[in-house]
Amino acid sequence: MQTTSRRPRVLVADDDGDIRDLVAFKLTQAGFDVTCVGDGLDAWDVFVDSPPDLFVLDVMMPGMSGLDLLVKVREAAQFRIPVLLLSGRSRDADVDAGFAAGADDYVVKPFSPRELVHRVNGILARPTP
Amino acid sequence: MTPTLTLAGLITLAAVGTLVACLAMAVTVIGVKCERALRERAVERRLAPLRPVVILVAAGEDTEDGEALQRLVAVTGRSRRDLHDLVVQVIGKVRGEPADQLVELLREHGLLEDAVRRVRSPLTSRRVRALHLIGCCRDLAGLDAAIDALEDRSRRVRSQAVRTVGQIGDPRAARPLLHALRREGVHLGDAAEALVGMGYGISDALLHALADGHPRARTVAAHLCGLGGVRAAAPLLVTQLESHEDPTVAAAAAAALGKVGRPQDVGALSAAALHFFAFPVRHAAIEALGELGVEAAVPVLTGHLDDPRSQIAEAAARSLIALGPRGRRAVVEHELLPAAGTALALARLKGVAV
Repeated sequence: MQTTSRRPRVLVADDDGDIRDLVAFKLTQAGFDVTCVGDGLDAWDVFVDSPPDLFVLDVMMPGMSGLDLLVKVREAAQFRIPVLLLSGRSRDADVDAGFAAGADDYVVKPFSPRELVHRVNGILARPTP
Repeated sequence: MTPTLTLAGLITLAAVGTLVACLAMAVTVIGVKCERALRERAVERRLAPLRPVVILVAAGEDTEDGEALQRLVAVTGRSRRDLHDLVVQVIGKVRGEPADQLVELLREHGLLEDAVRRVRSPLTSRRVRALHLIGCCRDLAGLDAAIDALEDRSRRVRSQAVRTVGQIGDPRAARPLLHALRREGVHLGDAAEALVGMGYGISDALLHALADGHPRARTVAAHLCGLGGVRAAAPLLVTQLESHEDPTVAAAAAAALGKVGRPQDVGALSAAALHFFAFPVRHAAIEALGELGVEAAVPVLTGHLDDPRSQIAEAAARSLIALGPRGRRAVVEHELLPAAGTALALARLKGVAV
């Protein structure tokens, strides 16, 4: 009998095409099934349609910011979907705001793609609350 | 017989002229837009086979012998210039080994050497672009050129040079950067951020600026001495606070003393909190007294609980609560004063034992 394990699905939302391509490429190489969108509203639509196993969200996006989306996801989801914020905002207050909104991790741009994969793996390895 | 122009004829002529001018303008705008769209499409076409390779290198997925990087190094002709733009765009978004590899590519193509030369170009925009590139690549070879650019005649260039030396992050640029603050055109926040990027090797430059710098440099230096925990700065900060030469500098010095001050600095801070000094200085001094954590400040702070300026009274109450049991007792004894009552209520909400 053959057992198949589903690849974890990651939804990447970033208005920067380079970042989207980079993150998608790296996470795909690391064995994830990646969906990319360019803004928060599209990310919400994808989430409603089929919730991912993890979000990688930019904080500043047109339409709906990553923080707003995060709050909305936390309110709507019956179970907790991990969220990693990937942001150019590096001040302590910004990082605090991200965690206060319910993020599971916060990575500052410019970022190390390898570190990003480790963080994603780390979040997914945590026991579900 | 000479033709005479009637008023109606003149109006018709003007209308036709305007119409022709509008048409010409519309044709020019459409032409420019088409040309730009075609150019962008051509760039996209040339970059299409290269973009995945750049992404692969930026993701740190190149082979051990750098196959993808070598493919990029070998690019020639018009594609090479487009590739440079793409790499510069991507380089600022990643760090670590992938960023180093992309910098290596630009170095192989001679772009960084060229950028160092272009920092001395007569064209402002060219100097700004060159500095931007040096900063993105954190190219140490461009440090001297970037330091020189801190004194450039153009405000735009000086401003970019500050960001560039911050990105390079070498502490040797700290003193020239603080010196450059005497001239307008450099945002103090940008300067502070650049200096933070240089790490802990900047203490001497900060102390030098505090002792002998322009007021703008002293403000930044005082702020960073507090932020970086430069305890050796305490005597100089007291001097700045007591001189009252510039309220902005004095307020920054007071705030920094709250973080790196000594017990004996309570006197200088208490004096700076007196009512005849500028509000920002008083406010910063009162907050610093709480942060310093010396109980000798309790009587002074208690005296400010009924200050006519509510922000001063509230800051004094907060500082007293931060000072521990003796300070909290003083606030409780004056609970009927609005500032004390509010601070106590907030402290209780936060679970502080009062």
